[in-house]
Amino acid sequence: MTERGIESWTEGLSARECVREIATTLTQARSVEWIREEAGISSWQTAKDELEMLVEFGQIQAIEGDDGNTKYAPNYQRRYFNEIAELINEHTRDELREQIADIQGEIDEWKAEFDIESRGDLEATLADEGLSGEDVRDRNAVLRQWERYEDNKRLLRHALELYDDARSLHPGRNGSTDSTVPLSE
Amino acid sequence: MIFLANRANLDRRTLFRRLHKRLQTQVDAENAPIEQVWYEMSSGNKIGVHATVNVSAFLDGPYPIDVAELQVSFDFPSNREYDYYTIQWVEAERELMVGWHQDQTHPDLGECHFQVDYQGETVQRDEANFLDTHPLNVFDQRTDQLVDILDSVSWEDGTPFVPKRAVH
Repeated sequence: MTERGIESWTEGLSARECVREIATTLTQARSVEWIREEAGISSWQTAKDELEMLVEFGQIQAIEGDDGNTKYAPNYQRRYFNEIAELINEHTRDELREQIADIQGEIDEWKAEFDIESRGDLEATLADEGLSGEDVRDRNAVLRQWERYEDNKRLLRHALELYDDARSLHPGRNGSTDSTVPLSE
Repeated sequence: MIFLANRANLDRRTLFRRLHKRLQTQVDAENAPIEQVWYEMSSGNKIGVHATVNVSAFLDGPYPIDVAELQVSFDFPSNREYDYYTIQWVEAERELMVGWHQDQTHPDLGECHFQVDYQGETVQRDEANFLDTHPLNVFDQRTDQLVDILDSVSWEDGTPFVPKRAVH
């Protein structure tokens, strides 16, 4: 092996597999043509066929674009459950609890730093006349981070709530009652 | 009702999972360029994917150090027209970092800039091509370009420098 760098992600993948890799990692609605191009394949029809199959299986969703043509977008419900499944399958209960505690610790530090009780309180301080431009930028950055932490905390809590039931259904694990049930993509 | 999650957060987690899996598949090959892959975490939050690089396998030739780290992070701010990313090559031994930052900093250099840090200081910052493509392709293009960049690093008075013609 003398190739330099890292193998291209398309190496060894069929045209349909390349379309699938792009389509299931979209971050916004895209056209067939955009996905075909990013997948690096020549056939528009192959891209279209694969996208329709992914819609049928709930991996992505089809929506009407501004120009009246169909676009393909992430299925966020599927994405949310995939993340819960990964957290359950790859972590112990204690690890999940520890992650929640870490997040809460960060949030508590912000509460102390800004002398506030909630994210809404911090948002309200943005109107304070005494703040410099830099202060406002810093607080906006904290607000964005805070929102993400709350998202992740919610995800972790749902993983904990479903933990035992989901583990018992994990394919290949002891106690599996139905090895055909996929918990993750 | 549970579905209040920030979509950019789910986009990031999904993409990091795919990049992690992709780099992990490079670990098992003979003379593999990647030795180890892990998530960069911050308080239970995935904020990037890092990998240890076997430099001689990555560059297929001699290089002053044996091990480096590849650091990748993506973000999808809802109030911006384009994706943000950071793709960096980091050598702990020489305290050298070369990489691309597509974000809101240094607007005078456009949407994306190339940067070299050495021993805690930024020693070079240049305009770089704006890549408005899927993150998997951004990552492919940048890691390809990294090979040429590392070949072209020169040292002037003990400070690293990448000629502008090599910066994409």
